[in-house]
Amino acid sequence: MTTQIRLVVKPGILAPVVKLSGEIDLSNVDSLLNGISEAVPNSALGVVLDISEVTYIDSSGIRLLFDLDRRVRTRQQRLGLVVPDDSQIFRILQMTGVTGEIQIYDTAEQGARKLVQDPPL
Amino acid sequence: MDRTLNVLLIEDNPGDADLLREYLGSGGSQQFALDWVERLSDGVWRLSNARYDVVMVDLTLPDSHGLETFAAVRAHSPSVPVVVLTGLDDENLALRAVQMGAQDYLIKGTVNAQILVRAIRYAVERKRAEEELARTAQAYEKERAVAEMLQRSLLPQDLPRLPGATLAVRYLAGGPDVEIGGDWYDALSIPGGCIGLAIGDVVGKGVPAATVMAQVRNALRAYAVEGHPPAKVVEQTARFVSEVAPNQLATLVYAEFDPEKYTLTYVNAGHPPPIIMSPDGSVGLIAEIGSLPLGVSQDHAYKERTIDLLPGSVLLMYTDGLVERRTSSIDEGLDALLEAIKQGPEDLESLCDFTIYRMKEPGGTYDDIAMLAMRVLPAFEGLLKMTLPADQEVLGPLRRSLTNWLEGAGLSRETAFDVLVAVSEAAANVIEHAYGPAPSKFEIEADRQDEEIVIVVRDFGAWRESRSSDRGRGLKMMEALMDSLEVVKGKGTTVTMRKRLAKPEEEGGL
Repeated sequence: MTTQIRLVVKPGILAPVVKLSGEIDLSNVDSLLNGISEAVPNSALGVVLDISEVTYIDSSGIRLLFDLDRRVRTRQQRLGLVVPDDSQIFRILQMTGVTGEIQIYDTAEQGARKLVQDPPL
Repeated sequence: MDRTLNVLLIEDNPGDADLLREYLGSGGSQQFALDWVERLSDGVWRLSNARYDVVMVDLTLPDSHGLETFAAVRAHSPSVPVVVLTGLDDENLALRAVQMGAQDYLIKGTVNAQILVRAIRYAVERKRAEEELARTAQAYEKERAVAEMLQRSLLPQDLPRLPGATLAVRYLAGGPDVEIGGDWYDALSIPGGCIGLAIGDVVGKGVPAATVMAQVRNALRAYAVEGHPPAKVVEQTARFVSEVAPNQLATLVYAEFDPEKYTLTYVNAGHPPPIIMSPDGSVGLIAEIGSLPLGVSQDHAYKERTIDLLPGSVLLMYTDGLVERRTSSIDEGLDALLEAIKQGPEDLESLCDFTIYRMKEPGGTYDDIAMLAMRVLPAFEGLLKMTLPADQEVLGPLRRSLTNWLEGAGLSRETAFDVLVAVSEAAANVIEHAYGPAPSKFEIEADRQDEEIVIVVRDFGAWRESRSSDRGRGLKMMEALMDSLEVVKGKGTTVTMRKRLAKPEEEGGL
């Protein structure tokens, strides 16, 4: 069975929020990249990816984050991640350099607001 | 009877002012003291220097027009009720003033003495009632917030990490219309290797209940760690509570689990019975032993009972908020709870969430809920050996088995997660690179040797060099997460990873 992951999109004209809950690994990572990309309209300034309820992420998941960041940047958009700094996956994000490359927010609300307010890339 | 009401009239038409004064003079039993000014600026000055019970203001004044006039009075003295005076053609404007907070409006030409007096008295009373309501709501909100904060701060933040069992707890404050109650839980290590589990409910609400709850919890904790048998622990707690909070009723279940004998010894002081799910999946209430709640009798002799709690069993303790519903009986609630547990997921945390989801009345108000669940782990078997298909769909189940094993091996949550990530990376490596498309297998062995975990991931394929940057990243993660990493290539590839167990004082827990 493919690893369980749930994707919920909270649409937004400027900054939609995509919330993932579950585990990210090799078996579900490909479907996620498409699912998240589809949630971001061209008009948006960026996307907030809320992974505060993701309990596991492997290196293919890390690749997903970097790929996604590259994709939105190419479209002059921005990616923000929501993940609490005391969660277990935060350490993995730190170790792999994600936290240095991608903007991290404490909450989805904060992410959606900041993403719109911050100056364009 | 009624005291004199001080009225400020801001009105630039002397004729109207005289008329209103005359009406107020004939106001019957109610006495009015009227101050009259013609300009808004004078009115504001008066409001600054005297106390008025009500302000009557014409919206059209020499120095102010329309809603601005009302807004200025309102902004200056928000707590003084305002009655707006207006002409026939300005009724809409007056209505908007009421929407902005004016108590009433009077249309000139339709006013008589009776209407005027009634409007003023009504405005004063309504304003008073509004403020009272706001104060009560504020006080209630504050008390509720304090009680919830207190309640949460009193519940243990970290559960002890116990060999032989996993624990999960939940506390849900009641719905918005319900006061916070004194529901609580506790879990502690007892000298001698047992696990002490408690759940309770202090009768009463709000801050007082939360305070008593803290006393009950602390007393029970103190007596339990002294090593008395459970019945004695509850007896002493009951005596203590009757001294510090006479006539305070409280229910509780206190149980001690012995992870070597796989037995549970429990005392039930008038609390809803815990539930046990046996390894075969059957679910039932724990047998009643009929003891009184705390606070009923000072020298009640509490009885304890010992039952088997086999590896793989789940014990669930809860407060009545979980089973009490407005629309059905407690028995129906208990039946629904047993059914929910029977159908629930295996993972303990998920089981708690599932149970609460199933039991909570949709949209209904509900009482506080406290819940404590324990799963008895199977005896730790030193060596874990698995042969798995080299398919990405195996990764999830592999993590499940490995998590259980690591838990049994006594790793801290953090260390276990590190090992889990590293081993999963090694497995993903094999799945992606060791074999061609034909079905094939790989092996994982996990062993605990003294103070070290050793994990071997072995495949029998011919390695294809990585085509993506992932694998490099995966390898780096494995190196960072483990203490040592060794890759040997021969007929297939063997990856050996080692991780030292954290020293006990670094293991976290309470």
